[in-house]
Amino acid sequence: MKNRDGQVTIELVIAISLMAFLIFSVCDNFIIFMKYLEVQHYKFYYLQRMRVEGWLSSSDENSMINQFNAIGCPIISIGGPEQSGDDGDSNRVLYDPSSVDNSEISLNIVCIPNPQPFSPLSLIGRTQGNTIINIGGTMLSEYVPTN
Amino acid sequence: MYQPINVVARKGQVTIYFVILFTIPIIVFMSILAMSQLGVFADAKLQESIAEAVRAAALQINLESMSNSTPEVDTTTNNCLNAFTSILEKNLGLDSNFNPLPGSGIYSSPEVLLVIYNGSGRGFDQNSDDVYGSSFFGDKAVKEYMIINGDIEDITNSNIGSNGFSSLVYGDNNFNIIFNKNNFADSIQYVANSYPSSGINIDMKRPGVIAVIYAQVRDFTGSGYIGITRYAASQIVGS
Repeated sequence: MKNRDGQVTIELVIAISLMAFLIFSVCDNFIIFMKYLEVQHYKFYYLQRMRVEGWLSSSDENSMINQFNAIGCPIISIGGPEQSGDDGDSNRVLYDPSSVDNSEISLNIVCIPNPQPFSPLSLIGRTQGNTIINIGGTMLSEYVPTN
Repeated sequence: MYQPINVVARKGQVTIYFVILFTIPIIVFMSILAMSQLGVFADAKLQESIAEAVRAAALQINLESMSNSTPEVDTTTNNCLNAFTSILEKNLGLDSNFNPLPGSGIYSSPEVLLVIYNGSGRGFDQNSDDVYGSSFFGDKAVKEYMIINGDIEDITNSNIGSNGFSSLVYGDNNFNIIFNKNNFADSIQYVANSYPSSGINIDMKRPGVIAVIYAQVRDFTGSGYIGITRYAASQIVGS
């Protein structure tokens, strides 16, 4: 009888541990999904501003970096026409009524969620690279020079 | 004392615990993953993509109409259609044939209805049967395109109902589009049945573009999909 009682306890401990692990996985995945959703909305917001301004202004770039840091997704790279770029005003994408291609303006962002999501493979000693969020979008610029 | 019946009962209890403890979290886990993914793609990706595509399309303004201070969407060239498809392809991760590129969250080629509307009162006689009457620049007030499997079909003159607009029923109730003239304003009423079941109405008081997209989004298993329908409209302001 004693042995069998112990068996029940061990089975329960294993079951509860696995359940806790599954619940943790649910929460961990949900957090990553929510972060992805949040950075998508931020990207959309700044892309909308780029559409009006023809580039990512320096102030927008700084505030975007701060917002991504605040939600635990520091940016590691930004792709798109930036005011802080080397070419100055020529970075700006203008509205070209005769060409859709010339008017296209894009923003690509790569960020790293911090903390990183749990990798089940790490339990068996396997190492993986960092999980990154890579998002981007394209719009048509509406910026028309005023002078 | 030997009590075999109690032992059997306890073992069965543990098995039931196991089943319940495993099944419930797994169901919750899968449900949350499915809902999260649906939310991400439906709201963050598909809705924004179709919204930007119609905005880009409505930005293709006929320059002559602009110079006359009566801006209309340019239907004399393919600029509007090209802008729409180009922005949609780039934001949804599709190739030029509307097939999903590797890494895209889209499962198969989306189906799209695009309506370019220039019926802003100029030549658009609501009391006339001729709702396709010439607009200010002699072009049709409304143009409609259907994109299926990457093939773009001009359906402007197809299936014209008694209201004068193309009435289209397509596929397995993915789209059931009905255009109605609005009797009260200089606008059209647009109804897409099945999303939601009561339909949606969009009043176009100015020239602009409407689009409805049905896309199959990959579910979290990667082998299945969830069908999502979204629409967007963009109008030219300041005319």
